[in-house]
Amino acid sequence: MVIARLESALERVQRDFDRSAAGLVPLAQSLLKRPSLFLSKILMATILTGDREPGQVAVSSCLALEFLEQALALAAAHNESVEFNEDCLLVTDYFYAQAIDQVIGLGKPEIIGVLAGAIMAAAQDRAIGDYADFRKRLVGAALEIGFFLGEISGVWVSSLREATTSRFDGREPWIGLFPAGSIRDYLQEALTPVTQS
Amino acid sequence: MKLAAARKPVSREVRNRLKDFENYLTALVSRQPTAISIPCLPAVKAGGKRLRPALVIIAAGLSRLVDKNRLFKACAAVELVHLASLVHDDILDNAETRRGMLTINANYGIDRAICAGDFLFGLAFRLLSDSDDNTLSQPLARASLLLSAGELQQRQTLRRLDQSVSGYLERISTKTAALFVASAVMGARLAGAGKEVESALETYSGNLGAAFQIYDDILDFTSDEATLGKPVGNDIREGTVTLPMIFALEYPDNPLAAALSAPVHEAVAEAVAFVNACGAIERAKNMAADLIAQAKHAAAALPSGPTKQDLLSLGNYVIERYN
Repeated sequence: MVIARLESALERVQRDFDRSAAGLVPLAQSLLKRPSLFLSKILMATILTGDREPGQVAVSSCLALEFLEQALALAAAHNESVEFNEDCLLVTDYFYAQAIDQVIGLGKPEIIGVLAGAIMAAAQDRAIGDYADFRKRLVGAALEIGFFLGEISGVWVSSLREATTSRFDGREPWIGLFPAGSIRDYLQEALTPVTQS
Repeated sequence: MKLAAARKPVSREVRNRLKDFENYLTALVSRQPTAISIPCLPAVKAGGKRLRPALVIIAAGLSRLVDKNRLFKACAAVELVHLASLVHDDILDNAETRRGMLTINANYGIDRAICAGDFLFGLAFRLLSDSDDNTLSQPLARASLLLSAGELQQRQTLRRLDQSVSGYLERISTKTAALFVASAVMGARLAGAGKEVESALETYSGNLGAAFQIYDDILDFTSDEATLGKPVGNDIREGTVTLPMIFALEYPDNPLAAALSAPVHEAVAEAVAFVNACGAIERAKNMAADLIAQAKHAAAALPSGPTKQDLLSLGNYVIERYN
């Protein structure tokens, strides 16, 4: 039952993402990749762990994370290429702005703070030459927003926070820190191919 | 062309606030991780006109009760978004210097400059999220989206000869004026101003910002390399069709088309000379002056007081400085 709710919430995210994508500037549309919903799965699963129903705030937060992933993926691909590409830089900036725009009207400055912090942390990582999984900062952000919206606390929350900050490389077995149950099983199955890539 | 010496554009109170803000901004950037603060600090300390924070301060002056910490956070947020865009602009322009200092991309490489710009953008919104209920974040977020969309749309108009004045004005309203508008609106909201006042400030700052960009575009033809920090005619080289060029393109047998498609040194020099001689600069200046007049008209509708006075004075300053 909870997995059905999770998948229903993810369908809303996909629909809203497609709607947002249709309104993007054409150059940005051309560089947009199909969203993996990796981060949306984490956020929604976390909220449902607290037995809260993910509402529009959660959906908008997911969209913000998906746009941040698009931005960082583009930045990572660009970094690996030989030549500087002006379009990539401009579209990355645009995706950052899109991400913030998704959550601006929600009246939740805490969420803006988490997303902004993720942008800063990811930029700092790259500035010091740390190009490990660019998603790692976003995983932390997805969890934090999930904790906040799900009003979740507890020892496992502290453990997860600790596991997904500082030395987290995106591949640590953090999923195992979720409480045992269908949500953890879902995440193990849904996310393992991504975390192992 | 030397920029005309101008009398002080704003009141002593605003100037003093801007000085305090300068220290606040430097301290803020200094506190960031060294991988960011070291490349960014020279750019911050090099100063700048700080027009956007000035607008926040002036608009916030509508109330005497604005908390200074909140005020400076708002000022810092708009200036950080502006700085982030300049850092990335310098990459795109392959600029070696800005305000006499080496750019981050010239000094540390493109990758570091990209990271610095990204970080500053994130810092702007992180700063506001600490103490905001969205009243300040919302206009800044909107401006950031318009700014980045405007940059992308400009890419699609590079080297195109069929651009209109209205298209240009639309472009600069997103690329430049949007952040001016956000600044004024944030100041107004800090002061608890009503919708009518906020609307007047939007009109004022939108027109001021557009005029400012036009003057900036004029300078690319009329100034010199020492003043600009880059060669004259850079917009032609970059393929960015600005207002003076749109006017110049109306004339038959103009060398602009050739210079835009193949911006070699001689072609650019010839195009710059043509733009200066054909009357395009004067027409662009007149348009900018009209926008300032519209800005001042909007400011005139505000309640009498220091804010209104500073806004009118700022409008005059922009005209004097660029004429």
